[in-house]
Amino acid sequence: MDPVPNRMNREMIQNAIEKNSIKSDLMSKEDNICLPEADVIKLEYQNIQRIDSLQEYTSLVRLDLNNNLIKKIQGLDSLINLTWLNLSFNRIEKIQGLTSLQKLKVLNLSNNQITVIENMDTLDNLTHFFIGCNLLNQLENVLYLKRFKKLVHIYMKGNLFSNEDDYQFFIVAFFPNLTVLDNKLILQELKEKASSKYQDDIEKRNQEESQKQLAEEVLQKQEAELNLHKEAFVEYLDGPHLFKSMFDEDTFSSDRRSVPGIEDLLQSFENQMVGLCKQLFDRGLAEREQRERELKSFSSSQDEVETHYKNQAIQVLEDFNRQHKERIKKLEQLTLRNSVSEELSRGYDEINKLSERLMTLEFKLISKLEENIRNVETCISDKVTDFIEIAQETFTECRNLEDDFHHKVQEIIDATLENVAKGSQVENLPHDVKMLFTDKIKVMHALNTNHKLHLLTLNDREQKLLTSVSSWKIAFFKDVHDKVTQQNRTRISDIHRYADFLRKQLERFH
Amino acid sequence: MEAAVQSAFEEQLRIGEEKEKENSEEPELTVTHDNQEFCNPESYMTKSVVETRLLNVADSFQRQYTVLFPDRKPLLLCPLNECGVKKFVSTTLQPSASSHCELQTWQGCAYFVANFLSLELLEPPVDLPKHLFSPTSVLRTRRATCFEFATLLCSLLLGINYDAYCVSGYAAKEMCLLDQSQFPCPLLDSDVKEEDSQQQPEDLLRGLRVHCWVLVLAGSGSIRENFFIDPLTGSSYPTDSSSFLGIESVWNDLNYHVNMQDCRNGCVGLKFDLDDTNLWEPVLHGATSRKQLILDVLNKKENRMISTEKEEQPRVFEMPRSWVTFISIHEKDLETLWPDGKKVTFYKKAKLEKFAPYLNPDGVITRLTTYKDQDCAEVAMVKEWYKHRNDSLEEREVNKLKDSTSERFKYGRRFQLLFHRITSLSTGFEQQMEFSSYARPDYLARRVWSTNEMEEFYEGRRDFLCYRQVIFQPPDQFDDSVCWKSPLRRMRVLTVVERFHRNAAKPANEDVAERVFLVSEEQFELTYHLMDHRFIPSRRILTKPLFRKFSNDCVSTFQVDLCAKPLSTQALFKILGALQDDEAKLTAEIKDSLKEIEDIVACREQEQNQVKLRKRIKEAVPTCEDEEQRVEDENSLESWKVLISKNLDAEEANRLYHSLLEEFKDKMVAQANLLQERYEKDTRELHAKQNQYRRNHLTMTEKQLEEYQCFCSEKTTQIKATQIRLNRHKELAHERYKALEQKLQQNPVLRPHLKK
Repeated sequence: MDPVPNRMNREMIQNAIEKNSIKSDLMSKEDNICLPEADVIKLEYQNIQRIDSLQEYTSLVRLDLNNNLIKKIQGLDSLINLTWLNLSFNRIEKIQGLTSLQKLKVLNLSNNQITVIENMDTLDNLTHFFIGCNLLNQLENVLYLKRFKKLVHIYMKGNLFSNEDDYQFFIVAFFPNLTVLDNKLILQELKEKASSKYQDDIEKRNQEESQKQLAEEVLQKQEAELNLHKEAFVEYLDGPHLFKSMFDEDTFSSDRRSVPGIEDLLQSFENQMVGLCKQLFDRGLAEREQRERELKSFSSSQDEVETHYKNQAIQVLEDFNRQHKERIKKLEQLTLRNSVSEELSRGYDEINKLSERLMTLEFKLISKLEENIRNVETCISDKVTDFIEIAQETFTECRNLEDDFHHKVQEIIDATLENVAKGSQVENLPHDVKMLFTDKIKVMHALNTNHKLHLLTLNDREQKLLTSVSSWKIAFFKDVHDKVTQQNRTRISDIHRYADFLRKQLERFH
Repeated sequence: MEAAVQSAFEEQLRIGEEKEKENSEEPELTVTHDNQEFCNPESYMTKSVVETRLLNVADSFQRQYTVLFPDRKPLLLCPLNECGVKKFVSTTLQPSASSHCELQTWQGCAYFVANFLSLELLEPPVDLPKHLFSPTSVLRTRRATCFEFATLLCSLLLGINYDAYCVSGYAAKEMCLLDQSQFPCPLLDSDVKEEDSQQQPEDLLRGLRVHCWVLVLAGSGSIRENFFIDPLTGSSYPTDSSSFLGIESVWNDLNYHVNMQDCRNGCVGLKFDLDDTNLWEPVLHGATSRKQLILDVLNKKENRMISTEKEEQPRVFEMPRSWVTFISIHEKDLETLWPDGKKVTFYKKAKLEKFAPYLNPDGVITRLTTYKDQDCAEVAMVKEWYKHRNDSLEEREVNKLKDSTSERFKYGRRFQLLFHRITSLSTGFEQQMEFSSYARPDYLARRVWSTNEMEEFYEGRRDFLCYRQVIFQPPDQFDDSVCWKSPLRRMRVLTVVERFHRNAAKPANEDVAERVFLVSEEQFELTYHLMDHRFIPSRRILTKPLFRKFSNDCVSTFQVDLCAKPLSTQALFKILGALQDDEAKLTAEIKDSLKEIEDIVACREQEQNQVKLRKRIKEAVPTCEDEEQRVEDENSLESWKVLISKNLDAEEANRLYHSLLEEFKDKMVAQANLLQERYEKDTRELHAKQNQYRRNHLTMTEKQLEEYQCFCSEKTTQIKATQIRLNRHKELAHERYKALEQKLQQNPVLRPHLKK
């Protein structure tokens, strides 16, 4: 007969918790309500069909739902602190719903109906994995588990592939860091045998992995470099990129090229411009270095100032606390009303003095910090202005080069046009280009548009640089300033609250 | 002369000896401390042809010198050696290297010479000495004038390739008389500012006191700058030092140079370019100098010698080789260094005593006594250094000014104790102990115990505990006089303060920085670490609910982090429970600490009463006895030989031969018997003690058990050693007998008479 299924709800959970919790007679009843603080919930053999009602138990560390009738893994998304999950002896067919369990170390899915190991990408902390007596049939699928660097124990007995000859060797060979397989310690000889059997495969895999890793590293490096350039605001200026982008939208560029003389002009133009860009690029990187250094020393001096005042504050607090403790001791022993009230008033005085002293320290600190910020801001502004000037100069030079080039091209084109119009022999010109040159207006028009486009590209790039520099500067200092103010405010509120706390301590002597 | 007769007689014996010795071209005379009859080699007592010629050259040089420079004092050129023969000073230098690693640097050689010999003052102090004994005899007698000091040191330095010279000149009074009472002790910290001592009365003989020291020139042996070495103290001085007031001449084993420069301002500004004949007048013109020797060697290496043609150089008179035999220094000499095994030096307000290891039964090797006053009457502090003690004590300082006794130990002793200091304060005692924290299971680095307070400092603990302070209840008033004696374990704990390092795995707000157990008030105070950019830490005060149930009222919290959820009662209850458990554990730990304090004091007392020095490894090995035995055998023969007159008839010779052999056999047998007896006695004693132990071991106290074990181990080692000696003795006795027989047969006096 099928067992009668139960609904999993709050009541059931709370009962389970209460059963397991510590002796509640030591705590007064009213305070015993905070059950969502439970860290272990055991709900075995409860005939549960569906996992539910677990949303508020976010501090759960261990959950036992084994020996139930669960068909689907769900409802576990809020249990971010879970390290132990037991879902064995259920009716689960697919691994899913485990994405938020990043701290999971032990996962037991034995005696279910799972066919594929999948959807466990986020479980990086997994150390023990039990998936015995399921329907796994692909040995290669087990290699999915290789991403878990901390895995030491696998239990896979009773699956469809477990009877194959190489089952043990395969797993031992490909998981060198595994200590226990199927509840048996993996001995050194077994490891050696296995690795010798699968040596080639392992090597191939290792090679592939290392290649992948290398490729990844290279990519990462490139990305990092690009970021660096962006920080210096000179990205893509270390080559002919800008130059080429100028000519992206040109019309008739290839045709124009075939006119003799233009090719050379183009080449020299390119060289010069690339040279200019490189200069700006180098200068940008150097400026960035300087800025970095400046900012580093700024932040370290801020830290120093803060530590200095922190130590002073700690000293003040220590002295006060000692005094305060003694006063409380004294108050506990005094009985005369007069002396009590005298002592109390002294106590309150001292608290006020403490808070005054701490506030003074705080003000001194904040003024120093702000001064530093102002200084560094001026310094950085100057540097930034210099850099901007240089950038602007560079771009002006580029523009001049472009103008130059344009003029020279115009001259050549003019000459060619005349030749074509005159009909004189023009060597080295393919026929279709010659045809093109018959329409003088079109050609001139094209030239002019090209020229304008070039200038536009240059201007765009210049603007980009200028705006990003200024906006960086503004954003950075605003951020710094905000942070400092915020910290200052928190500290002041701390001082007030602490004073209140101390006053409360004295209140019971009234 | 008496010397001549004695020498001829001794010579004969020595010749006989030589033939028996193997592999020695030059007779190697080893230095021993036995007062044996010593035979000087021939070169000591006669002048060779070359030497006579050299002496004539020197004589004529001296005469010319007095004529040309009548106002300069006579030079030291040819003093008499120990056999009364005139020898030129340069030939008294015998460059000799040794294999000891201590003597491979100039510092090591200078230290050795300064400490090995004791000074004989020049009499009168303004005149050059008439005698200059050879370095070998000086090593034997261990008494020397400053000239002989310098000669020995220079010989050693030349042997290890330094460009060293003996310098004859004038020096300050303190230097000549080896009086260091105006100099601060080198062992004391130099930040003891020296107030200008009262001006010493001017030395009447200033500038006239003759002194001899060593000059080392730059260029060889990785020396960068010229400097002087005072052979009496072994310390180096720059060449412009004010202690040296003038130089008359310098010499090494290749040449002798007279100083032509003005010395009115002392040695400041003197140039030591000895090849410049304007500054330094050589006795032997054109003799090979050190530089030339080096060049020659280099040339030879480069094979520039054209064998067919060699330029005929005008023959120059070179300095002849030294007449002194090879100087050899024993390992033993390096160890025992000082004559009598100890040396006392008086410095300014200090006295430094140095002892040979194993000389004192308590293992002292250096003792420094500092005084409060200049006259060294009131002791301020005594500091002693030890070696080879079985309780690993290395240093002890008894400081009268601070009223403290500190001891420093070597790593690895009981309790892992490294340092122990007891200071007596006006209110009682303060005891400080330092340990090797990584070797102890509780990682304790330092503990300070003073009246009613104990502080412990930890390093590297996994629970991040770094400091613990325990305040005890002061004992009752009438117990004051015996508060030190009463068992510390009985003290009641009032408060415990523990401080922790920051555990980065926990957020600052939940990481306890300090916890205070107010035992008498049944309260716990927790202070957490500071969060970033905050100056006020979170705090929690928990009170033990004695007669009521635990509720939120038992805890008052100040939480700095406004976003943190207040802890539930359950969580607080858990914290309280954990604190109570810790409190119980603490009391046990504190008791252990107190016990350890007492144990350390008791242990130190006990060890102090039973100081023993660890044996040298060498002494335990009986193999080196062989050599000594053989020498002994031969020596006993020598004594017979002296009695043998030249004319022995056959009968007497035979009788002598046989009786000598008999005597030797008897001696061997006696020794074997002695060893056997000793062995049996020791085994008997050991068995007796073991029986006693078996009967009584249940009733023996801890101390007695320890004693028994010590006794057993000692006895067993002794027995083993005796056994080994006995076996070896039996093995070797036969061989030695044979060797002695052969020797006697080959003895020239006996041989012709022995019947074959």
